[in-house]
Amino acid sequence: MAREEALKTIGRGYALLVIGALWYLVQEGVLDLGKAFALFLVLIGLYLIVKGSVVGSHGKEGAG
Amino acid sequence: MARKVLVEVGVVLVALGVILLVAPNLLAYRDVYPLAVACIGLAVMSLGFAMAVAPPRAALAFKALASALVVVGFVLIVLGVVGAPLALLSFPVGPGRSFNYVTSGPLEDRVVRLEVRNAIGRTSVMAWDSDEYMVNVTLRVYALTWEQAERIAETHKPRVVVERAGGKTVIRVELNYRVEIPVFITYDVIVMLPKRASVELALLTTTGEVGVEGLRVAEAALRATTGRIALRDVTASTLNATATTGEIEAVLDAERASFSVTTGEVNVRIIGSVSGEYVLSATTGEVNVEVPDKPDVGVRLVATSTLGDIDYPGHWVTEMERGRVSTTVVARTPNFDEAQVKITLRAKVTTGDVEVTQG
Repeated sequence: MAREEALKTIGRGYALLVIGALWYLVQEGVLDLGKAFALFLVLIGLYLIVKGSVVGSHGKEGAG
Repeated sequence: MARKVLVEVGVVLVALGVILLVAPNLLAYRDVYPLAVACIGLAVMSLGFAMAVAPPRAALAFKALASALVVVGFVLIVLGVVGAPLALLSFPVGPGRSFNYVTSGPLEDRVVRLEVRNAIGRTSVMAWDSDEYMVNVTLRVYALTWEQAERIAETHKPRVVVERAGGKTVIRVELNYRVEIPVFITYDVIVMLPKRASVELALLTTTGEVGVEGLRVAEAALRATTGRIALRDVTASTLNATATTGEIEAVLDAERASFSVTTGEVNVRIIGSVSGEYVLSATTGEVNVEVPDKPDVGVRLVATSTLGDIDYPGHWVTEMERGRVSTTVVARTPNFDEAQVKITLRAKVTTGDVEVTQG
């Protein structure tokens, strides 16, 4: 339960970090909105992959 | 799960509402919002990692702190999402920040000349019981960021020049409109002058409003290119008001007054305590005049309308009425010859009506 909560919090923090960083880069003119959105998808997707792999592997261990 | 989401959304909305109530200027977009969100994200992630290894009590405290930070992060995102597009839209709905400047001082002379050239904004001159003058200028800056607005305000402070010359005090309000797009600024100027003062006015606005209230005006030149000129309870010796596109509304007494609009309306109510001649003209629009119905006040009307009607009270004496397409009327109140106060109206409208009422 505590681990789940920790992962959820990390996920939220990561989302805020990605949004803030991309927003800043758009504001500074480094990225346009289209690229920022694409990067957002990539970064969130990567996070989900990592999270899924970690939780999945632990889940298998737990089941065994 | 759904209940939890509802509670979280509710907390964000309440926090946002409270912030906007307490500090509405936060809606003006700030450069630091994105970095603040990113930093909050980092902090929340760190708390998440700490929660995984900390004892249960500390984990609970970390969780509460992380939740609070998440709320702050979302509030900043919503402020940015709402504030940034508004800032880009700029005038008239963009977030504006006001800066107020007040100058005041004693008036040595009874005659005061006031000169204001205000490109965009409202200029109001009013009488008060004090023996001092006061100039209150509100600068409104529409800028993308808060910091930019403050920089603009710093370099665009109004300058109030007060000089004494030839027995009169000259007050000149100098406004600087030079800004680079997308910044937009307006100035609202309010000048308070003593009731006892004899005032000369030179007020010009390109887009905006000129207002004069309760003053004794010796000489006035009022001009609004696009906008409105409003006079209330004014007594004038010589007054000239011109609006290219807009409206002139006046309640006054004048010895000589001229009101002219190219496109728009002239609405004048004459108080009738002094004799005077009023010239009222509109190229496309209407001239409406209300004169007092008093036994000691006589009115004579000379009106021309090329395409339109001329209306005046039925009991007036018609001296002349001619023309079918272009109408010219000369009429007067029955008491005009013996009246102590004589008012002469000279109205001219190219396309539109002239209406004179008495009451």
